[in-house]
Parts: sequence; C-alpha cells; structure tokens
Amino acid sequence: MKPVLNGLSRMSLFISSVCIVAMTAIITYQVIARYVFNDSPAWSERLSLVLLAYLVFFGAAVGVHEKYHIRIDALRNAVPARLGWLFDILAHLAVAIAGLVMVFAGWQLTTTLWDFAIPALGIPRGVALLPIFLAGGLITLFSAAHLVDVVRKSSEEAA
Amino acid sequence: MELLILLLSLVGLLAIRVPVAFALLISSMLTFALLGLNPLVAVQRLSAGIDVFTLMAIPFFIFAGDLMTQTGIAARLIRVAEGLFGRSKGGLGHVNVGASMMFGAVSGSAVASVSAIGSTMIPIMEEKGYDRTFSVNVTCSAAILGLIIPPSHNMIIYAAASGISISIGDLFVAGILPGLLCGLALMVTISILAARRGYPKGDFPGVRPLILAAIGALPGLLTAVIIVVGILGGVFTPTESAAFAIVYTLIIGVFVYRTLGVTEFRAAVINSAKTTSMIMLIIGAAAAFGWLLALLEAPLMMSQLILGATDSPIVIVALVLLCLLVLGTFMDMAPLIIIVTPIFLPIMQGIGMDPVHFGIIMMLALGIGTITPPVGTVLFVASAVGKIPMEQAVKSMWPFYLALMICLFAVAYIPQISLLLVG
Repeated sequence: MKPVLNGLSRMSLFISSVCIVAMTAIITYQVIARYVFNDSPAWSERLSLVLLAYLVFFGAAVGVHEKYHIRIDALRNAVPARLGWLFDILAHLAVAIAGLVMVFAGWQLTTTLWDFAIPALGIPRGVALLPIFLAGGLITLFSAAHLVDVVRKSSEEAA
Repeated sequence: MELLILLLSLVGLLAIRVPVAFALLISSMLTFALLGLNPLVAVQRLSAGIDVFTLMAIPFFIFAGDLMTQTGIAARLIRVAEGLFGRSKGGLGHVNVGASMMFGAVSGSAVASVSAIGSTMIPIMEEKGYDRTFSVNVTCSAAILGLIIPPSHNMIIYAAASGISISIGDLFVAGILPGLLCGLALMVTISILAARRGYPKGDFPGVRPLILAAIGALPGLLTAVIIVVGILGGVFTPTESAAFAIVYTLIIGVFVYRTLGVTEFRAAVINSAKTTSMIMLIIGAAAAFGWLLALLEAPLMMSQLILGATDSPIVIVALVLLCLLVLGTFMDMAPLIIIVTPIFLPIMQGIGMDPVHFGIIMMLALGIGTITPPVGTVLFVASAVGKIPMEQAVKSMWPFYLALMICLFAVAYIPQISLLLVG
C-alpha cells in the first residue's frame, strides 16, 4: 500500500509543481504581450487562476501525506502518551472526514458548474472545481492511511 | 450559540493537532450544519476564498523568494552586512540584523529568512563567542522585519481581506520606514546586550572588499526596487511584478551568479509548490471561517464591545493592538489576517485611521506573534536551526520583545512613520 500512496503523492506534487511553473510562464507572457505585441490577452489571468486551484488542492493533498501542514504541537506533546495516541486518531479521522466532504462538495460543484463557461476562456467552470473532488479523495485516502498506521502502531505496542 | 460552537470546535481541533487549515474548515462545516445550511457551502467558500485575482501574487512572491534563496544570496548579503556593521561592539549581531533586513527586501518570507540567514549566522556567531540562545533571539526577531520590508505577501493577503481597494504599492512603500525603525531598535538592543556581556568586535574587511561585496549583492537587492517601482509606476500589477521577479531571479541566478542549476531550480519549484498550497489552503479555509463569523455578526459584536467600552481613539487603538498581539500568540499570521481584517478595519476607519497605516500595524503586531509561544512559526524554525529548545530561546527574548513592542506602539500612534513615504 505504501508505494501506491507515495506514488500518488509524488504525482500530485508533480501536478502542483507544473502548475506553478506554467502560471509563471503565462503571467510573464501577459507582460511581454502587453509591452511588446501591444496586446493584453484576456485569457491569461483566468487560466492562471484555474491552475492555481490545481496547484493548491493537489499540494494540500501532498501536505496531508507528508504532514507538512502547519499544526499546533504544544498540547499534543504535553499530554500522556495514551491520550496523545487518542488525539492522533481523532485528528486523522477529522481530516479524513473533511476530505470526504470535499469529495462530495467538489463533485456537486463540478457537475453543477460544468454547463457554465469561464469568461474569456470558453472551458467549463467545473474544470476549476474538479481538483477539489480529486484532491478530496486523495486527502481522505492519505489521512485514512495515517489513521491505520496509528491504530496499528499501538496494537503492536500492546502485544 | 453557534458562534460559541464555531470558536470552541476550532480550539478543540487545533488542540488535538488537526492542521490549522483543516481545523478552520471542519469547524466551519460543523457550524454550517448546525445552522441548517448545507456543509458543502463551507467547501464552496473555501474555493471562492482561493479564487481571487489579487491572491495570485502570493505563489509568485513565494517562488521568487525560494529561487533567490537557492542562488545563495544570503551569503552575499551577510558579506555586505559584515562590511557595514561588523566593526561595532557585538558586530555579528548587527550583521545578522542587517542581512535579515536585506533578505526581507529580496524574499519577504520570515521563515525563509530565519532558515537562510540563521543557518549561516548562528554557527559563525557561536564560533566567535556569542551565546547560541542570543544568536537565535537575534535571528528570529530580525527575520520578522521581512514581513514589513517590501515585498511582503502578507500585505497582499491584507489588501485582499480588506474588502475595499487598498493599493498594494502603497502598502509596500509604507512598510519601508517602520522596517528600518525596527531594525534600528534591534541594533540598539544588541549594542546594550553586547556591552554588558562583553561580546567581541568584528574586523573591518576594508573598503575594497566591501565595495566588491556590495556589487555582488546588488543584482539581488534590485529585485525589491524593481517590484516596488514597477507597481508604483503602473508598469506592472502586483501579480505581474512577482512573476517578473521570478524571471529576473532566474536570469541573474543562471547568468550572473551562476549558482542556479537544474537541481536548485527543482528544489525551488517543489518547495514553493508546497508552501503555496499550504498557505493558500489556510487562506481559503480562513475565508470560509470568516464568512461564517460575519454571518453570525461577530464583527458587529466586536465593534460594539470595543466602542461601548470607550470612545477615545487612543484607547481603541490600544485595545485593538492588544487583541492582535494576543491572537497572534495563538494563531498563524495568514489566517488571522483574513479573519480579523474585516472585524477591526471598519473600527479603525471609524476613528479616522488610514487603511494603509492599519495594514502596517497589523503586519508588525502579528509578526511579533510569529516569534511568541505557544504558536510562533518563526520562533520554531529559529530554534530548530539553532538546535535549542524553544523554551530556552524564549527565556532570554524579552529585550527583543520589548524593543519590537516599543516600535509597534510608535508605528501605531505616529501615522507619519508609515505614511510619510506614501504619495
């Protein structure tokens, strides 16, 4: 299971990385187009904003897998080990539930807005909301895997 | 009632170590459900909170800063600071402050500054007989100057959160003098401590090496100038200026400094993708949370509470400062800006304060929050880089807190410090 999760995380990070580079290229092109070709493209900022959604949500999923999201350790580190174990279970569970809500909400938003086009771009607005659905699934998966890890670790300790 | 549940569930989730972004999101979902609204609205607000043109500048500023760090600019800036300040008593402390201020002008991220300047300066300072705790104290208090010295992506978050049109160019310019003031205050603090503890003077490397170091650092330092002048002159939008800064950094990193290869580029891309998604998810979640706060009339209650207690502008400013400082110790900077700006800005405007001025106050107050426990990102990173426990770092921090607090009050009550340079 672990290699699959790592693979999914690497793929998400790749998507996120490509987006930030592409956004840079698009906005740079926008500046060049305005001053050199004397023509401000209407699509550039819109497209860049769509890519931002992919960058953020896929990167957020990687953050769940690699645990780099900002969190507050103070209390968790101060409580006894067993209580801390309980905290970890609840925390991973909470994130997994949030991921699930993102899956449902993401799907609903994507399908509802599929028939509307993004101005100046012509693609469905749903395209910009699809990453919530996809990354929501990854977040649920990654968090569930952490949950299993925590539960298993303790049963091993108990044994 | 719902407001209480929203706040308590947030605190509870944060306490069991749910990441800040998810804690904000889940407490919002829960409250939406309790209000009889569809919890999916929370996700919709999250998405809407990210889907903002102004905020697109943030990934670019982060990317530009990461690339600049990868070029090894920190070492060059330290060399310049050595030439300028090294000879005075406690010289390396001043060098640290000077280098951090310059780093703030090329990056704008306090965390990047702590790791870039700290990892070089802390070992050098220890070698020359400085306390490691002192070095960590200096490094983290100097790093927050990067939050007010332009460019600063937190100012963009503030402008976006304000709901009114605030010029990002004006905010950038307004940060210059307060940034210099804080730098000066930290240097005075270092001089006093150095005299008491007998920290050594450094050597002056000579005029020629100083000039050479300055020439070496100049292309990097020009980034800030290009951004600020470009925005103010109407050449770029803030987002374009940040994208341009990336291209500029690539060019000088590859052709001038020749330190930027494929490995460094990859590292910068990956790092900035991670940082961006982390910060932007928090911003989006905070937007959902803030939207609920507004729905539950929290801003109104807060302003009635403050304006009911007093009608003296001096006391109102003091109360708001106190709120910002207390909140800053418990929460990270980006979500707080999103959440508290709509609450406090109308109050401050009501007593005639310029929104640009209030922005600088907020940056500084919440910046101090990043170096105070229990939640202080910059303090955590500085302690990690200096390899000392956070508690140890905090114990000897008080002279630096004091210096920064004096600056905060000066900036809050003397608007000219912020507004003098603003056209």
